[in-house]
Amino acid sequence: MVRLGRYLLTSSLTLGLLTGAAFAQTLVDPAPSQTQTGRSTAPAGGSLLGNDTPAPGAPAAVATQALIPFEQALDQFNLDGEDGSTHLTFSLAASQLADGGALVLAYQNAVSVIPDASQLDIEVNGRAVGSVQIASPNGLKTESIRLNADFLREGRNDVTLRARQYHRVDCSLEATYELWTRIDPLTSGFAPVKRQGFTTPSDLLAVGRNSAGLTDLTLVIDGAVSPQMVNDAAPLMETLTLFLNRQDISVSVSNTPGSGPGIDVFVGTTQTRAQNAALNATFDAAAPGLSVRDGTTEGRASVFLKGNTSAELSRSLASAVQGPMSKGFQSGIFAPRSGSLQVEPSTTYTLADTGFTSRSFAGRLSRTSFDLVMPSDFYPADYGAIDLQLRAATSPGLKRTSQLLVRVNDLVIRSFPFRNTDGQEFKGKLIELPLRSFRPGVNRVELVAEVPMDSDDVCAPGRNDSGRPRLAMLDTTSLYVPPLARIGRLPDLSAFAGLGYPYSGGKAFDVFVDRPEPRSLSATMTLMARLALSARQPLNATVAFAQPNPSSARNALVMKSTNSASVAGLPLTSVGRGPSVEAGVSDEGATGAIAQDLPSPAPRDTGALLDAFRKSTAQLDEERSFKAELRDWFNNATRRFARWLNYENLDQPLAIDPQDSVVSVSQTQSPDGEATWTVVEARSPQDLLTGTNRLLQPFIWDRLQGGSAAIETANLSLVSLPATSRYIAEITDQTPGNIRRLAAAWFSDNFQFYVVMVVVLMGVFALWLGWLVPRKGVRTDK
Amino acid sequence: MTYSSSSVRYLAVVATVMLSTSALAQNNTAAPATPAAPSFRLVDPPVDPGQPTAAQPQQQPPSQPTPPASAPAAPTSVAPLQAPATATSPQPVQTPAPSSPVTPAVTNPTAPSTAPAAAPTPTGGLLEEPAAPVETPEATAPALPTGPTEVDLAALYYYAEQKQEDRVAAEAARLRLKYPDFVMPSDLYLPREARAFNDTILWKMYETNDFAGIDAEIARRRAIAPQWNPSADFSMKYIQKKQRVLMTEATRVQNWPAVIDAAKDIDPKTETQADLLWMMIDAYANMGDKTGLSAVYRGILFRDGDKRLPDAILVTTLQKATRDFPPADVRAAIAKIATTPAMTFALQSVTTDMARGDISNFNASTDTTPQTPLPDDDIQRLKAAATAQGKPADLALLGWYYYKLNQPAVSAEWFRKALAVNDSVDNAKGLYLSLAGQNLNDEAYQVAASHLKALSDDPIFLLNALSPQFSKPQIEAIDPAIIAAYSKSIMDAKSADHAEILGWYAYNSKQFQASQAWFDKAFAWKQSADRLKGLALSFMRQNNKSGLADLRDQYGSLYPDMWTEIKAGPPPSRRRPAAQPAITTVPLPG
Repeated sequence: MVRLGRYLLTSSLTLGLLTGAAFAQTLVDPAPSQTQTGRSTAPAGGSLLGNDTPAPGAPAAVATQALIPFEQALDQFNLDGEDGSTHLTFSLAASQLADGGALVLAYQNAVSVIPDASQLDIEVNGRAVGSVQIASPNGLKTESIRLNADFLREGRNDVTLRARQYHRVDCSLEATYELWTRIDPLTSGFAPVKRQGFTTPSDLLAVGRNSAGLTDLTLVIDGAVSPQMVNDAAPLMETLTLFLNRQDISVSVSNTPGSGPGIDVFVGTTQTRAQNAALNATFDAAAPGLSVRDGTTEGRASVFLKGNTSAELSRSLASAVQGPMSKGFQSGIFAPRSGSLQVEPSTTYTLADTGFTSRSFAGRLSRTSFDLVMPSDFYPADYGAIDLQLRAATSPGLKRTSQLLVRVNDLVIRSFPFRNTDGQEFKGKLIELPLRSFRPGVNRVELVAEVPMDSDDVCAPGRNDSGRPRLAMLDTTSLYVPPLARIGRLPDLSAFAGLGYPYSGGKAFDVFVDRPEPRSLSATMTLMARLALSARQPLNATVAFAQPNPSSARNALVMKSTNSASVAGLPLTSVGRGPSVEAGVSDEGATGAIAQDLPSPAPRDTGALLDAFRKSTAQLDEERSFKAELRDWFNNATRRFARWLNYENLDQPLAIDPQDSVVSVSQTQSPDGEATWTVVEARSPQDLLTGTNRLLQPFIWDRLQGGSAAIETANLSLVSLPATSRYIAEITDQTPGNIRRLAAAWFSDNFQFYVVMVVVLMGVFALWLGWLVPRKGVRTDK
Repeated sequence: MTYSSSSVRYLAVVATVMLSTSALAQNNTAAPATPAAPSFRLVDPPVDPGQPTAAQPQQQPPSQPTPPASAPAAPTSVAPLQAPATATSPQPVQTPAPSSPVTPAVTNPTAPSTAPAAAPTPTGGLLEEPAAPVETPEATAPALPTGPTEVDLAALYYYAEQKQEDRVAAEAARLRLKYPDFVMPSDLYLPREARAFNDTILWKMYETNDFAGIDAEIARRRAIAPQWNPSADFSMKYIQKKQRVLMTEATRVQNWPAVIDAAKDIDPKTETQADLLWMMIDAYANMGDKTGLSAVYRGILFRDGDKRLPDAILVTTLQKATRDFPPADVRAAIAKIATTPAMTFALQSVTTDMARGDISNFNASTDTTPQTPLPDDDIQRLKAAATAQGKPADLALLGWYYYKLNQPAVSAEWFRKALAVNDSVDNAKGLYLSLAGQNLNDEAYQVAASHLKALSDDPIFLLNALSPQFSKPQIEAIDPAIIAAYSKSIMDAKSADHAEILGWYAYNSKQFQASQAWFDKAFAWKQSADRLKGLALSFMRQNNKSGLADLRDQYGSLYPDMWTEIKAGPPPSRRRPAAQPAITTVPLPG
């Protein structure tokens, strides 16, 4: 029944997202009308709004709590290089339009950014609203720009920031990497003159971030937690994540509502409400279905999903998705994402599709970057290339060392020199980007143009030639994605992180949580929410408090924090509210938790056991034979060559030491080979929560790749290991063309077989020739 | 000029891009006593130019020609007033009274005070209020240039912290280009925690003259960071202000040793704040420290080249010097520093002051022998000043000069001019004496009669001036106001002689009661036979036999010869009575 409801939800969401606008006008949604009525009559909400509403024409400065935050993740708040830009969005209610407000930007810049000549240009919804001097190297500086209704619109508003910044004393190319401006996500945003409470789902888009800079979703469950409660709540949490379209979601499970900015989520059927007696009064005040109201503290919202059965919850959620939440989806998760391309084979894209606009560049090093999201079943190998057709022009006077570098996932894969010092125009200059350099999921592509001039060598004070363009890059520069070899090859964490593969597409799978306590549950639900965001749709997951079932054919997501047996129904009140987690920071409770859950010194799993075995026998290496050493050398050389061939970092460790990691994630085949397990493992629930939150930080999550990865304990950095072997999970395209590309791809990966085959064929040919010539090809003329 | 085809293509593409790209960027007389002969000299005696002394090593030789009028003015004449103020420039002050210290102009870094010092007040001597206020260089200086901000300096500190010396040098060069007066921060290489202090709290205490607080705060910070020092700007201004406040307060309470102590760090040869130097002059002068006084004057007056102070300051200092030094020294000093036409012109006020001093000394001389006239240049200089400025003191000075030269006609003219401007007793006296010296007694009497109020301050003079009218053989009607003034002056001066004169005037005008009273007063103040005789005649004419008998009983033995004469004496024969009311107004002895 639950699966049926989930299927219905998934189908409804997908359908609703596609046709949401039309359905919203035809479907009767009781929740909005009720909440709107409640908003006008509710004493608390009314009085608060009345008291807090500033007078028209009031100064732009508004308390930080009133800020509507930008929705983007932390890495979107960086403006790097000589000409850096970013696109941000914030949401505004219709009632806030008339009085307008102020765009608040708190920023800090690199100390080397010269204040006299650097500026930050600001556009709102495509209209320039002003520029500010970039001059805050010693700390945050807040700039406030008053905006009236003419510049704003209901719903999501686009803000484009462009930083043109130059170095104080260094005119070298390398010095341009020292130039940056950071927008503070916590104290930046839009300060509306009129505050808007939380009454409709759309109001949720304005919810602020907590002190850790995360969007807090707290699932409030009092009493004993059952898998049913989690399964009822998970779709709503995922839907809210998709609706908010924020990559910094942090889901926590607690028996009390949270505090500060965030959303408290209450989900209950008749059955589960009975198990949450303490929350009955709260539920009684909520309307059936999905409803939104102000939370218990300022800046906090409460979302209720109330129904008699799980199926009813699913129907109510689906109804909300197609109704009041539809616009939010359309303008958010399903709107073309600036700086990102979801590519399809045999398709041509232009830089304009990434939000790039043609511009002339007057600096020394131009950096244009975007994300290329490759299909989850994309097979990266040397059977083709993405054609980059460069449309640009260079100015006369460039040094002969000028060049264009193409970086994919931080590795330079192509360089194209600008040899003509008299200036050049490129009308579709072809630059091939080998498919092997890409991977399934999110790929960071960066076009780096190094355009130094001789005049840069004289970096005299006061000399300012920053206004002279050196490069013009057109938005018509295109990328042609060729037909791709498509096959589901696992393990592949980049597809897992970038697209939720293999848990996307509505495929049913299980989520096993070995210890259902708040931190483990929080980590699990946060990961599920993030996977839903990667998959761009809710997951069809069933949560169980158990060890994974080896005989199940269903894919599984395994959350391991301990070896103890699962205990369903562990009351949350026994552990209280889960601690607020910041990456790299552990509070007192966390320390206590770690102490409580410290593993025994002995290795706990097979991998660790093997590792310990290897270490204990290492001293025997001196006694090894020359043959064995030669074999190892050959294997090692072959492995390194293969890794170089696949654009992998040769300095990466070859194995993850569980003792050195906070959390690890790996993909493996299930014991019976029928399914794929993605195992997220930590030594304690606290480590699981800390590690998972760290893992999900955007600048780490987008860099997941290979077969396994870990967050190191020492510095909380990411370590990814390539898969030692891959297996085919599914063949998604069985057309001859795809088979041919797969074969070509396979041979490019397994070149040794190709060599052997060629040698064998040549041998056969030699044998044949040896056999044939004596018999047929020799004539003796006497 | 030619363009390559690729350049043209590039420009075309750029133009296309710029057209298609939305523009983001939009958007302040009495004659002075003759000064005691100084045991020192303001100007060292002439020495052999070839053997300069240590105290005069760099002075110009006397033969050095004066620059022609068309030559550029000396740097000290104008330029310093327009020189841009810097952090090390003196504070804006106006010319202070020579004996009155100037209220220091306080400057703080955030709101520099432009309030002028207290208005100058005149001091003893012939020095008058300067013709115009004098400003030190900063008074007209432009606003202080803005220095580098924290934002400007951020990278400099960062590069220094990172030991990136090349970048430190490059950034310093960039800052120097932006701020020409930029100097490397003294704390550039200090640890970050030591640099964390800023001078804001120090500046707040600076504004309230809380010097003890500043010293305590500095000590506190140094306890935290031993290498820490306030900014150079603050340190300099703090020392200057503290010194100024201490000197000003000590001068106000005339604690001259304290003034000298506070000024111990001031080098008169280089200090540019003239008001402080003038405080030192007052202190040394009042302490009688001629050596120190001479050193300060020399330090101010005899500087060379760019160190020379503005002409206005030198002029004011020389004006003070006329108080402390003999004229010959001052003239010698003037001769040394008046090297430009502009300075010569500016020193006219000083030379005029010296002329005033000479004439005043001439006038004050008690030598009764005929006097040799003073140099005509001085007289003409003072005449010109007196005529141009119309100062009563100058006019009177010339009147007394010519009176002493026994030229009453000339002196009368100057006294008339002075009296016209200032109706003072001295001017009236001068004119009276000048007219009397010409035997113009009636005119002299008229002068006295018309300046009764002014001359009332000197009763003796007034009595002498008015008495001839009362002692004329022919009794004439006298203005009651004159009689009243004469009577009042007699009473004020207790003059028996003039009381007798007035008694006879009353007797002869048959005002016997009045004559009785005045003779009685005169006899009481000083006994004489004539006064007793007048008194007795007054009794007799009033038929007061008892009074007469009493008088005879009392003084008959002392004056035995007069009583027969009294009985035979005829009554007064003049018919025209005197102004009756005037006599009766005299208060009679009780």
